[in-house]
Amino acid sequence: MTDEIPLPKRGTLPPLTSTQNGESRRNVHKKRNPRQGAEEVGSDATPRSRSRSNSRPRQKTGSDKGQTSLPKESVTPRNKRPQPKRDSDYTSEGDGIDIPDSQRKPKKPRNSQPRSQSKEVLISESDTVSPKSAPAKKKKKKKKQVSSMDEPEVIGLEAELSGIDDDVVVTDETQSSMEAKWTVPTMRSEPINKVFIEQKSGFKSADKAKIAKKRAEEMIRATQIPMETTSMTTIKFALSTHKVFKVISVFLNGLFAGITLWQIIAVYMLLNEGDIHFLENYHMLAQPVQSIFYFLFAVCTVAAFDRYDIGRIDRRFLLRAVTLQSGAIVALFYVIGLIFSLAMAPDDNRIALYPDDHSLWEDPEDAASRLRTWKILNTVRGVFAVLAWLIISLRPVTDRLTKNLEKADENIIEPQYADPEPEIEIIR
Amino acid sequence: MLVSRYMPILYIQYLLLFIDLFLNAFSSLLNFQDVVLLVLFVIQDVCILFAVIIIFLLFFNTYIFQAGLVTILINKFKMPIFVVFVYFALSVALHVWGMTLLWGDPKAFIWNSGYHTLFVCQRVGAVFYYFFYKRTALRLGDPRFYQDSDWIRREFEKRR
Repeated sequence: MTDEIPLPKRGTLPPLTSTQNGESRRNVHKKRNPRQGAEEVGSDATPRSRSRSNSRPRQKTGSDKGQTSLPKESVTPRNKRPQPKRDSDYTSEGDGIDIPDSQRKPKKPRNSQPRSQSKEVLISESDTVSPKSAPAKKKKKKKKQVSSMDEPEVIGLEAELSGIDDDVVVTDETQSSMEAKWTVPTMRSEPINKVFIEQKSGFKSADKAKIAKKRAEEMIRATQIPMETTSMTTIKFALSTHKVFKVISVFLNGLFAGITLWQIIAVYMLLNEGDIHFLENYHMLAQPVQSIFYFLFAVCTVAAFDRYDIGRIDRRFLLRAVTLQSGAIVALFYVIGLIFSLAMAPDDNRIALYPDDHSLWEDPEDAASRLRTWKILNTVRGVFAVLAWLIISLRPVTDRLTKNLEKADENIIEPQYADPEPEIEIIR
Repeated sequence: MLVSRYMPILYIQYLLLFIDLFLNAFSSLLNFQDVVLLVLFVIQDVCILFAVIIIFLLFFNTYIFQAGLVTILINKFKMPIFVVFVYFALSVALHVWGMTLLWGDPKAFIWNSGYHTLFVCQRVGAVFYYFFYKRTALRLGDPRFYQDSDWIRREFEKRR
C-alpha cells in the first residue's frame, strides 16, 4: 500500500463516491498543484464537502484499487477537466472551455499517469448516480472552468485594470445622426462675431474682439501686479493719510483765496455807502467770517508748514527760503495773514455786537477810524491769503515733509550728519 | 508696530486735533450760555491732555525708550514736546481768563489788550501745535523707532 495516497483532511476534499468521481479527481488535482488558488480549492470544496459528507460516506482507497478504467459516462473527459495549474498551463486555461484535444495531449502524459493511479485508488464503484450528476458535473465543470479562467484576471492587477473599460459605452454614430435629424430642420447655426456670456438673468452678448482685448489687458495686468504688491508699513500708512490732507488743503487754499478776495470787494462796496450802512448790513457776517477765516488760515498754514517742513530746518533750506528760491515764504505769508486776522478779532466782535449794544458805536469819529483800520487790516489779510495761494499754485507739488519722512537713513538721531536734501521743484 | 495698531492711534490723534481746531474757531459763535462755553472749554483742554498722553504713550512704545535712551528721544522730539506743553498752558490760561470775564453775560464785549495778546498767542500757538503734533504722529509711524539697529547700539555705547 505504498502507493496509497494519504487521505485528505475533512473539509478540504469531498468524501470519495462514484457520483463525484470527476470532482474528486479535480479536487485531488487541485490539492496537488500549489499554483491553484487556495481560495478556489476551499471555495469549491466546502460546499461540496458539506453536501457530500451528509449524503455519502467516505470510502477508503484500498477498496478501489481494483478499478483501473474509468467509466466514461460518469467521468468527464480529460480534455475538459481543469488541468493542474502550471506556468505553461495559464495560456491554455485562459483560452476557453473548448480546447481541442490535440493541444492538451502533450501535457497529459506528464500528469495523467500518476493521476490515473490515484484515480484508480480513489474512485468509488457506484456508477448508478453518475448519469444524474453528469449535467451537474458539467455545470460545475463549466463554473470551474469559468472561474479558473477568471483566475488570471483576478490575480493580476493589469488584468483587473484591463477590465475597467468594459463598462465604457461607445456611443453609436447613428445616435448623433439621429440628433442631427432633429435639429437640422428647426435650428441652424449661424456664427456671428458675438460671444454669449451666461449670467444669472440669462445670456448677455459681448463682442468677441472686445473680450479678446480685455483678456489681453488682464493677462498683462496679472503679470504686472505681482511686482507691484508691497506690504503696508506704518510709515506708508501715515504718509497716505498725509496725502489725503494735502489734497484737501490744496482745495482749501484756493477756496480761501477766492473767499478773501470777494470779501474785500464786498467790504469796500458796503463801506462806500457809509459807516452806518456798512454796520447795518455786515454785522451778521462779522463773527462767522472771523471764525471761518481762522479755520481756513489754520488749515492753510499747517499745509504750508508741511510743504516746506518747518520742523526740520537746515542751512540750505534757510538760504533758499530767504533768497526766495524755494517758495517757503508761503509759510510766512500765511502766518502774517493769521496774525492780522486775529488782530481784527475784537473789532469783528464789536461789529457783530452793533445791533445789541449801540454804546460801542456811539462816537462816529471813533467808529470811522475803527472801521478804516478794520478795512485796511481786512485788505491786508486778504492780500496775503491770495499771494500765498499764488505762490502755492506755481509750485503745487512740493512736499518736503513726505520726502523727509520717507528717507530711510540715520538722520533720526544725528541730523547734523544729514546729507543736503535736493529740492526738486517742478513748475506745473 | 503693526499697521492695525497704528491706524486707530493715528485716527484718534487726527480727531483730537480736529476737535481742538473746531472749538478754537467756532467757540465765539457758540456762546449761548455760560455753561455751554464752560463745557466747550473743558472739552478742549481735555482733548489737549489726551493728545499729550497719546504722544507720550507712543514714545514709551519705542525701542529707544525701552532700551533706556530716554534722553535721546527727548532731544529728538524736544520741539514738539515744548510746543505742546506751551500751547496747553496758553489754552488753559485763555479759557480761565475768558470764563472769568464772560461769566454772567456770554455776549459781553470783554476785549482788553492783555486778553487780546493772550488770545493772539494762543491762536497762533494752536497752529504750531497742530503742525508739530501732526508731524510727530507721522514720524512715530517710522518702524525704525521700534526696531533694534546699529545706531541705537552705538548710542547706548556712547552713553555708558
